[in-house]
Amino acid sequence: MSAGAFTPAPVQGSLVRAHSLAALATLLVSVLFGIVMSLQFLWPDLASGSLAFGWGRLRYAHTQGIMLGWLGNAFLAFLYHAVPVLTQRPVTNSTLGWGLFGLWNFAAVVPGWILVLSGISQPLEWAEFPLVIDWFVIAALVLAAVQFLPGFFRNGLDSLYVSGWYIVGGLVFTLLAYPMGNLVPELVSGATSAAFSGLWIHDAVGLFVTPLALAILYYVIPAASGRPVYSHFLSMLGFWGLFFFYPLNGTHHYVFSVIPMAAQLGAIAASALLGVIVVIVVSNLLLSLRGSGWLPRDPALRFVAVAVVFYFIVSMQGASQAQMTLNRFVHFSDWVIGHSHLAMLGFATFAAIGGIVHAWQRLPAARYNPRALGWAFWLLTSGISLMVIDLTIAGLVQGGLWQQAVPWMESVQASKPYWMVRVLSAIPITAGFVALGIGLLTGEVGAGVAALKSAPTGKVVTEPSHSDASHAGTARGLTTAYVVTCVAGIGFFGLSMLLLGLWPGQVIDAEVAATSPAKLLTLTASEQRGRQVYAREGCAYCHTQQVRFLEEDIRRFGAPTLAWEIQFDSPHLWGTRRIGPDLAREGGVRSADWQYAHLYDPRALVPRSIMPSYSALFAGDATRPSQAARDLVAYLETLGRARALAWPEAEQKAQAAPMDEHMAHLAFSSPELNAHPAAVRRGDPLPALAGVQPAANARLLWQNDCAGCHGPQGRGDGPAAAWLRPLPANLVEHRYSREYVLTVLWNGVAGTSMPAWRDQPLPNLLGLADLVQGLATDNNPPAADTATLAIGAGVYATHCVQCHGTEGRGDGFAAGEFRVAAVDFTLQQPSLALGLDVLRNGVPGSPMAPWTDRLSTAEQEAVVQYVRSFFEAGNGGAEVVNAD
Amino acid sequence: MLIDLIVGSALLLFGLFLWFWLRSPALREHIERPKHVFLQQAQQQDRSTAQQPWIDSAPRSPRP
Repeated sequence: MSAGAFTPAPVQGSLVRAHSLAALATLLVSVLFGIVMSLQFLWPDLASGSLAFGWGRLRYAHTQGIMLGWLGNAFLAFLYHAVPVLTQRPVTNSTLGWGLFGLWNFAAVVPGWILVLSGISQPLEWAEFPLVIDWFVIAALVLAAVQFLPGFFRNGLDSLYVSGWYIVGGLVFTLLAYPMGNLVPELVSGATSAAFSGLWIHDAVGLFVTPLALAILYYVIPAASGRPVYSHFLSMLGFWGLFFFYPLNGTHHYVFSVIPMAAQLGAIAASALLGVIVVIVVSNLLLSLRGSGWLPRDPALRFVAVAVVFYFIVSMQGASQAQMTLNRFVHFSDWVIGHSHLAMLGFATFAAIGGIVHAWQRLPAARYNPRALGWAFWLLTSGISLMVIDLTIAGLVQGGLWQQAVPWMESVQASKPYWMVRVLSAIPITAGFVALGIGLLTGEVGAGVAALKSAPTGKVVTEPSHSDASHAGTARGLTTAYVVTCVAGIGFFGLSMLLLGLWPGQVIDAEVAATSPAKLLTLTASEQRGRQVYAREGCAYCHTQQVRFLEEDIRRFGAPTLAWEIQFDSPHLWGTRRIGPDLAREGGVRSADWQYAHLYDPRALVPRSIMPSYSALFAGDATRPSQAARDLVAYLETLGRARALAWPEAEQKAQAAPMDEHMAHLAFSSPELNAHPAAVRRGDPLPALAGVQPAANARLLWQNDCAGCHGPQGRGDGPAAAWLRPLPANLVEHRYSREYVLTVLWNGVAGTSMPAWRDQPLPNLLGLADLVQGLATDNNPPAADTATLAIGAGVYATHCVQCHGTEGRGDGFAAGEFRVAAVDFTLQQPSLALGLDVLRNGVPGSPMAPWTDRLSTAEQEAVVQYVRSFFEAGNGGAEVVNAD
Repeated sequence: MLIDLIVGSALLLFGLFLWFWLRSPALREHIERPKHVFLQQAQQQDRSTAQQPWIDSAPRSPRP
């Protein structure tokens, strides 16, 4: 091949234009989805009543839109310009090109959006479009391979420029990885599904986005600067290094999980090695930029130069956050969100813009406005930098709080200022993308091409002299080496599937066989439907279902997730982000009424919550759930159920099974953690409280955590009270022993919506206990006369003793049968008015029925006075703190 | 074992590639050749695009 004989091949300008415009359109829509999502962090009721524009579905549409809509179209636009130059041949067929354009946009991206917003989706990271769309994407990738690849093989591998290698590699490996990541997780279940999903999370970036973005960098830098890349050898070294090591990184998304530790360590090692490769790639690219100045004049070159910097930062970030020391701290936090935005919106987007602008500038009939492009550059650079720095700091704050024993909501509260900054960062980012559109759609027709005539061309490059004869042998040797390396590259991809997918699957299957209880509960039809609701609404994108083998996870969420617990989960719902708490052991933590109320109006129960309202799943009221809401709550109640009910058989089997020593210690040293630590329990002893001082901010704690149900004054009339049965206790009309209040706070109240508050530090519980005792207004009731007490004793013995016991301790012979325990009157004393109200109306949601048809008014008053006397007799009143 | 396999494979490939590259000036030149060819192609493409006669003769649209 001789450059002198080079005849420019025709570029399909109309397809460059079509894909560029489609890229811009899908970019703006995807960014709009992202902005609405980011606003919902601060105003969670923004899309209230709309499932289609709820956070979870938008999250699906946002990421798929950025990857397939924006980047996919941008890459295709660039390929229509670059491939004819690189191969000296036109692309295969323009008609095929329009077919590919239609397939990509109108059979994949747009229908994919419509389907996920309609609730038809796949709950897998970077694979959210449903299976039917996956087939169209695969078909489009095949068409793309037919369209772009043939020319590369006609000139011989030894003369293939590095951009060509990346284009070939990107298309071939995406064709291999896309089905693996989108189809296989549907065919396997549990931890194996997560293992394959983890592979795709990284392959989507590493084998689709990165190669095509690097193809642009290697193309635009020399083409725009007029100087060849610094070293083609280093660029090839980087190319093969990336394709060898990227596929081996996937499992680093599930460090400290039940996926075999050897696979995790392998992925961590590969991540570190990938960092070394990236240093080689970036060094070569930066050296190639030498002479272009700190701020290149060419708009495309300016974008790709910053893309190189972003690529270096994001890669070093990735290599370091895969390491266990940092991973345990920042994983699941906004650090990772910042990382992914730096990858997709920083590195890849800047590269894609560079590719589009470079190609667009060379369209003879296109408008071109370099001034607007300059604005786009500065707005995007500042906006994305602000967002990534902000999210990185937010992640550090969240990780720090998660390490401490503070309530989960404190990490949400601490994140809000950072989420506000993220929203603000959307202003320059959106303006930058609009400016990009203006840069491509305004200005003079042909201004881009005209600029080429006046642009410095750089020094005239002469091809090194060589003898064709002397190089024939070298060419053959090099071609052979490349062929061997190609085979090895494919082999490494296969190796990644083998080592990080199939082999862990085998180990996991063996572990499941060794540790699973003989008869494992499976989901009912309703629970299975609920799982589908959970999946389609994107719940897993805020709530993980994966307790990691880490002390801080176990302390907060219970025993680490074992493989057998989730063996039927298909696909898995582990999640990669914790905006809300982990739900792997949610069953038994909250009542169904609480869940309904929380889904309907989260802030009625938890004023500081940022969970979106799912009122669309209800018929106008939290007490009127749709079937979907019933199914969802039924599913939530199953989370952790198998593990909680498996004691002791499964634990004994698990302890006998071979397992990593560290994991085994964490998994089995605390058998009581089989359920969530905050699961409602009956009669668990209080922790030692000696020397603990009550918190001084009890009133604030009350407002944040108690007032939603019990009301601001404790009258049981909070905004969520009407939706809960039994009604929240009217604390004003009760006197309680301090121990009882603390026990309720520590264990919750079974059968009611009162949860256990074990995530609160003990000083907070003591402070709240004191506050609750101080709410009572009936501290000095008049004593009943003896005759009245005698009548009351008679009534009590006849009608009440079966449940409340002879001494009023709630331990009657029938009490053990009740979902809601009978009241222990030695620990709590209702006011006279409340006692009479209970006798007249019963306690809805509990076994306590109205007694007006069986007791006269005098008998009612007498028995209330009698049960009130148990409190003093049981010494409960001795601890009462005066309201003053 | 897995780490050994990955690291070993990587070092082996890197070593082979580097050894061949250092060993042969002709190979080095051959490996570097595509970057020069590509630059020629890209510049020629730009020149060809810029030289299309209609650009100078076609009426310019007004600035928006």
